[in-house]
Amino acid sequence: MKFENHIVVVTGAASGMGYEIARQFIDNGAAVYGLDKAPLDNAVEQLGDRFLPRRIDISAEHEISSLAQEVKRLHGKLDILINNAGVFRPSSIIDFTVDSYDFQYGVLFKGPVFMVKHFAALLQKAERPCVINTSSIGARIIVHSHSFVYGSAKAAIEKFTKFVVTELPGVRCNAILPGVIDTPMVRRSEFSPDEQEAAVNFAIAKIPVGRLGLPRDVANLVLFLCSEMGEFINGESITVDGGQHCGALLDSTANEDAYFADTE
Amino acid sequence: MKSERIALVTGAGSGIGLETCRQFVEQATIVIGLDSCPEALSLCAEQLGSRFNGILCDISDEQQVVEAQRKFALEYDKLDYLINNAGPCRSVSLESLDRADFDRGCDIKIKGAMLVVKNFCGLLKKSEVACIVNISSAETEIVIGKRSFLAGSVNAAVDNFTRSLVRGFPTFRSNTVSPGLIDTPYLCEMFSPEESEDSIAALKCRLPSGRLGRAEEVARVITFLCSDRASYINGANILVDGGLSCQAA
Repeated sequence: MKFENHIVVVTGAASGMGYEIARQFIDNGAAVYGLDKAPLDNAVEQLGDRFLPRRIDISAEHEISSLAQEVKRLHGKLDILINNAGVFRPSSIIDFTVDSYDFQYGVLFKGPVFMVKHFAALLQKAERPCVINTSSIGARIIVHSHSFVYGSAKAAIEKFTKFVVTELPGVRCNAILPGVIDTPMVRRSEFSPDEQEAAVNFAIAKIPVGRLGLPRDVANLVLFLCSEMGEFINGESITVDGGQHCGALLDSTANEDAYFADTE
Repeated sequence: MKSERIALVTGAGSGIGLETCRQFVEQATIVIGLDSCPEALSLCAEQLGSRFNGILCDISDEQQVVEAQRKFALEYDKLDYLINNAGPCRSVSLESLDRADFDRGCDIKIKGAMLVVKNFCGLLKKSEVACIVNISSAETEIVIGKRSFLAGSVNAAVDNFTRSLVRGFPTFRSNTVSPGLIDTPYLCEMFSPEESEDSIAALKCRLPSGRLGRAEEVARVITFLCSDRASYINGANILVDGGLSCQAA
């Protein structure tokens, strides 16, 4: 897989899946705009000068449009857009607030939609443009009722993927549906080691292959889909979850609360 | 004697919402209809008589939902059926999408449904037969309007929300109804003005049923799901589209 002379935009590139996706694209020759609300210093240090860090909040439309103008001025095209950024803020329906809805839908649904809108013209200038939307197995299975905002936004972005295909001819667009991936969103630094272990064990008990996913499991799929090998795959949704969506292994006694603590 | 059943219908002022209210009233259920259009609500009240009570409410604004709940709770001590019907999504191309269209589509359909459930679930818990029906769209199954990406995506979120409700409220039944092309004022909003006439005519030819659906045909499925005859249907999503989604995309 070679991505020389490719311009790639990855949202949520500071850590986890987004960082690994950026790393693999850079390894394969691309220049990557890495977007994040969080500091990107570590990625800059590790990934060298083909990693172009931008501190951007994708739920703010004007920040997206000014980046699109910059990419247009410097490159005149965008080859690959990876809508990866995610947040997770579980709550019961009773405790549900408009703020938590706006925050999560802003990053999980509105952000990707307006990324596609503002980069559509630049994508259509590329030779083989490709968009990946990061949905989740939460779009398909209800792991926990407290994740209703997250799950429903992920269902929306999975469906949006098919409309990109019909609205922007020539741009391939696919959705990936990761399961539980070992990232800072699952293994929170403010958790005690015991809490982290409880969260991880709870997750693993539901995964038929018996381990958490790794960021590279997801990045491998993303690069495959964006490469020539994936060229006829369009509008599809692909789970990368170790088989979790096939049905729960129902004997978990691990503590759900540890796993569903507030994360972003 | 069985106590009277009480239903709450959002977007009650026209189309599927209005027909649902009518059928509930015919079944001797008391109906409280929410709508943001005062004229539509007073027309409903005229047509449906004393078993119908309208409350003016824009469900995307939590203060108004809280106020509607307060008014409801002054009169009734429980809610049996909640029908989350409100939520038109304007047809717009991705390239010309603006924030206002996007926010209006999402805020009424999905945020509004969540806010109504949040504020009325306490009253639903007082019912022995609590039932939520969320109205989605066949647009989640098939691209109907050339530019229905917002409705299609947001209604996919609604389907997912229904299934979270099944997990979150094990004593309620929660189901989704997904209408296809129904002859309501909303139909025109699914298409941009210039494509409206032609598209609807072309789509009619593609429909296995050969005609548009009627609002009462969707309402019959909604009221069936609320009835005791549907007592084991939970987490289902029922298409009412005359076979549209079986056609080639």
